[in-house]
Amino acid sequence: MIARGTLLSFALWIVFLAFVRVAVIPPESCGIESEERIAEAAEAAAAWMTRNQNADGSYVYLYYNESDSAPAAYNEVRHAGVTMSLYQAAGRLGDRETLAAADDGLAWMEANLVRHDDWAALSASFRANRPPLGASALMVVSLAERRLATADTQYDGLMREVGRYLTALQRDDGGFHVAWQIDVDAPDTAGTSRFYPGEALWALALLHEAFPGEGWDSHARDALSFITTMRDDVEDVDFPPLADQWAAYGLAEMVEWGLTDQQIDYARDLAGRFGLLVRTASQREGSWYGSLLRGEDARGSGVGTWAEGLAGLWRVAAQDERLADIKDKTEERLHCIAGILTDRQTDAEEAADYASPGLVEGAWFHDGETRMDDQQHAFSGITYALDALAEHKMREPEETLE
Amino acid sequence: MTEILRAAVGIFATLAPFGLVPAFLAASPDDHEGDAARTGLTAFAAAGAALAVLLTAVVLTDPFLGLLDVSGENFQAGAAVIMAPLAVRLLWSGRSLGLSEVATGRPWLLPLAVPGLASPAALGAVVAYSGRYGEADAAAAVAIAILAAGALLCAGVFLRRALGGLAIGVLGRLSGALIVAVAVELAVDGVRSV
Repeated sequence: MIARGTLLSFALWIVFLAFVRVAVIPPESCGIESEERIAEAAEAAAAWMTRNQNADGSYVYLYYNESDSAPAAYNEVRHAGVTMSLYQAAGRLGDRETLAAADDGLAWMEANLVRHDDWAALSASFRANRPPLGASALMVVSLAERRLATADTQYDGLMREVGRYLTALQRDDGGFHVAWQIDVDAPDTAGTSRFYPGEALWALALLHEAFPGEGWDSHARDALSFITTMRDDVEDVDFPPLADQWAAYGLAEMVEWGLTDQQIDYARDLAGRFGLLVRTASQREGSWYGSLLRGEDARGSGVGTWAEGLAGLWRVAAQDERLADIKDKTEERLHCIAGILTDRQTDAEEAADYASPGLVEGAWFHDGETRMDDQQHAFSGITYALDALAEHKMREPEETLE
Repeated sequence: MTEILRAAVGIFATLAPFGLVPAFLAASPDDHEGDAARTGLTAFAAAGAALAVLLTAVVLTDPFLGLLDVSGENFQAGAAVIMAPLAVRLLWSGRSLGLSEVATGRPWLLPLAVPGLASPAALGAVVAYSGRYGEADAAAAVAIAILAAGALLCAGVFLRRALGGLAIGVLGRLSGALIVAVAVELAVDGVRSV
C-alpha cells in the first residue's frame, strides 16, 4: 500500500512540473523548415529593397501598412547598411537589377560625402558638420561588398579615403570617437556608441582583405582588442557581451589572421548570447502564451542581426578548432532563426490586402511599421544562415558579376 | 573524462543520499546484527532500481525533449527549477523523504528508489546532462553516481553509529546546498550556451 504522504508528494510534483513546463520551458518553434522557402524569403527581402528605392538613390525609410504612409525621416547609417545588403544580394543572386539599385544607393552616398584633410565621410545634410563613424564604416563595407560582387576596382580610391576617416577617429585604446566635429576640427570626445566600433572593426578588416600590406590590419586588431576587452564596460552593457553582429562579422574576417584565446572566449560568449536570443524567440513562437512569458516579438532588423551574428561566428567555428564544439549547435540555431524570420515575413497574398502591396510584400512589420533595415538585416542574416546550412565557409559570392 | 565527472557530481548531488539515510534506516531496521545483510540488500535493490530508471531517462532524453519541443539548453533552466523543492526540503529538514513515507510493502522500490534516489530532481539532472554531454557520458555518470550513493546507503547503519543522527542531518542539509550549486551551474550554462 502506498503511503498517503507519498501520494500527496506525487500530486504536488505533478502540479509543480506542470508549472515548470508552462512557465520555464514552454515549447519552442522554429517556423518554416524548408531551406528553399527560406531562400525565397531572402530574395523577397532583396526585392523589397530594390523596389522601394527613391529616384535620388535613397530608400523608403519607414512605412506604416495600416495608414499607407511613409514619414519623412532618414538615417545615413541605415542607408549604407541597406546598400551593403543590396551588393551582397547582387553578388549572391547574380542580379544586375539589384546591382544597379545598389549603385544608385552608392551614388546617394557619394553625393553626401564630407571631405576634410585626407579623408571623406558620409553624412546626411542635417548633420554634415558631424559625420557619424557608423555611416562611413558601413559605406566602406558597401564598397568592399561591391568589390567582392563585381571584382571592379574603380572605387578603391574612395574606399581608402573613407577608410581614413575611421582611422582618424580611432583612439589609442583601439576604440573610436563617434564623429569628427568639422567646425572645431577635433573629434567628438564626449559621445559614445555601442555598435559603431563593431562596424568600424569589420570595415577595417575588409580594407585589409582588399588592400593587404597597407596597415589596415593593425587598426582592425586594435579595434578587436577594444571590443573584446573594454567596449562592454565603456558602454555599461548590463548583460555582456553586447549582441553585436558587427563584431561577429569582424571576427569571421579576421579568424584566418589568427585570434587570441581571449578573443575566442569572447566569440564563444557572443555565440551564447545570440543562441539565447534565438532560443527565447523560438519559445515566443512555440505557443499561444509564449509572447506572454517571453515578451513582445523583436522587430525584423533585431532578429536579422541575431542570424547575422551567429552566421559570422559559425564561420569562426568552421575555421578555428577551438570553437569546433559549437559549430553544430550554431547551425541548428541558424536554421531556427532563419525559419522564424521566413514565417514572419509578409508574403504576396497577405500584401495584396493592403493599399500598397509593393511596400508590404517581402517586408517584416512590427506593430504595423517596417523600416528599411528590417529587410536589410533579415536578408543578410538569412543569406548567411543558408551558407552555414550548406557548409559554405567563404562569405563572398562564388562568381563575380561581369 | 572531465565531463563524465562533472555530470557524476551533479547527479550524485541530486541523489542526495545523506538526505535519504534516515528514511532508508527506517525502512530497514538494523537493531540486530543479523539485519546487516538485509540492509545491504535493500540498498542494493533501491540503487539497482534507481539505476534502471535513470538509465532509461538517459536513453529517452532526445525523444523526451523532442516531445516537449524543448532544446537541451533551455531544459537546463527547467532542470534547475525542478531541483528547487528537493534543495529546500533538504536545507529545511536534512531529509529528502519523510519517515512516514516508507510505510509501503516494497520500500526499496517506493519510495527509496523512486522518488527517493530517482527523484524528479535527479531525473531532471540526468536529462540535462544527457542533452549537454551526450548519452554515453551521461550513462557513465549515472553509474558512478548511483554506485557512490548506493555505497553510502549501505554504510548508513555505520554512519549513524559513527556520526550520530545530528551529523547525518547536517550532511543532509549540506546536500541541499550542493543541489543549489548544481542547479545554478546548470542554469548559468544553459543561459550561456549556444
